[in-house]
Amino acid sequence: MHRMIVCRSQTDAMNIAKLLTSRGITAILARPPRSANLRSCAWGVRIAEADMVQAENILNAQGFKNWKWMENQV
Amino acid sequence: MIYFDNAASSFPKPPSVTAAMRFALGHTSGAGRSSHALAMTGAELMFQTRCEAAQLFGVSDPSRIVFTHNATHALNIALRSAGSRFRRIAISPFEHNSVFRPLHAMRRQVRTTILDGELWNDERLLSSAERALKSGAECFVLTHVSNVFGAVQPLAELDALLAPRGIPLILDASQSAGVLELDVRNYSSLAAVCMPGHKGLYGPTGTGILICCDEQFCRSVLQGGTGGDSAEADMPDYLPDRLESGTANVCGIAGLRAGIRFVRSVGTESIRRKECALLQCFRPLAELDGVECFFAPIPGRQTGVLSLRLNDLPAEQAAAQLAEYGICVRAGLHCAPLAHRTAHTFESGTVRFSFGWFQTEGQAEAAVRVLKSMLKSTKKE
Repeated sequence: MHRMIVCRSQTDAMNIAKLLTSRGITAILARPPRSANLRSCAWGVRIAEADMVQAENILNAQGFKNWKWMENQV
Repeated sequence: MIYFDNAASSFPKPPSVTAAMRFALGHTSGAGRSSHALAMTGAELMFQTRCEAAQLFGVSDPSRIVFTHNATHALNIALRSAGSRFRRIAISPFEHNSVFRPLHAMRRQVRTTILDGELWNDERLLSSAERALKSGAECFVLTHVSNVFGAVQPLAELDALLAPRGIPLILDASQSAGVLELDVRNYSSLAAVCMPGHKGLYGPTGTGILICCDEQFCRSVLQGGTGGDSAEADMPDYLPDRLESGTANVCGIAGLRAGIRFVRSVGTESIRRKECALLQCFRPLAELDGVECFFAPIPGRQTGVLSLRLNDLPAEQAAAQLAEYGICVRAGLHCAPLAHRTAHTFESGTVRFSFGWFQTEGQAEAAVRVLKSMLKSTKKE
């Protein structure tokens, strides 16, 4: 199963994907589906659910702030 | 053909630029909107170009690299942003119309002070900048290198004046990007740096870069689709989306990436040395009667741009005659009347030779021979 890191912009998403890929996490750019909690078109990075904790640690360590987890699995 | 008009647009482009654009034309379909393979290839190309530019200019965050259509577009964003906040803006006396005209258009809201200057006289410019600061100038604009005379302006010294006072500086790097080393981390007053992609960066026309050194300085001037946050009526407030609406020139940006990679592989120092060597090929003309050559008195204060005027031949006619010999130059005011007024060449204009990586000393020597024969012919008449 996969989870989605939701970003502000495609550029932010590509930055995050590049970082995670460099740390050995498979990170694919994708469009998260719109929902009640995600009204606007956004860009996201899809990763394996098993990589969630490591990804969050990496992003926090590198100071990435403008992202959030999409609520549901994708 | 001998091309000495690189200050207008560099020519030829490295073969990699053409190849990159051809690839983009055949393998991309927009960017930043859809998520299929063609759109994602375009998006990846754009992102990589941001990263290449960020590395060239010492920018840690690639989202601070904003793509524009040219330097004029970038300058309009920066200047209109400045004009929305500041009432008194000071500019150097060598500014291009891309700086002067937007400020002139805002003259009801913004008072523009043109600093006092003289060609090759940095001290006079800096003294004038100090006086402007005392008179309340809130923002400065500086062209890094004059497009008419190749004069390198005192960026470091001006930054030293402005940075401690928290006064922002907008830099027009149209003639310096790709030629002079420009690491924005060295200049803490920089709010925005504007440049074309098609001159010293060897990219195609229709491209430009705005570096947002101050993340909040530049405001949205063109509103439209950004491919994200679509439900919101307001433009996104983050970079680069805040300043990039509408479908990007993906093919152009792919070419720009190849151009930047070319510049980084050759090195700005090598490019500058080569251009200055070509400039020196024209030195013999300075000894001749009937021609005035604008060489810097101090080595290192001029890039590969040389203006000259022939006493008995109008600049436009001289350029036309050179064109008959297959020598491409530009004549007139070069969209920089301020620079000409400062150098007292406004009435005559000048003939401008501007060099690039792909021109040779043999070509420069051939042009000098042609100019000498033109001088002789003019004297006989």
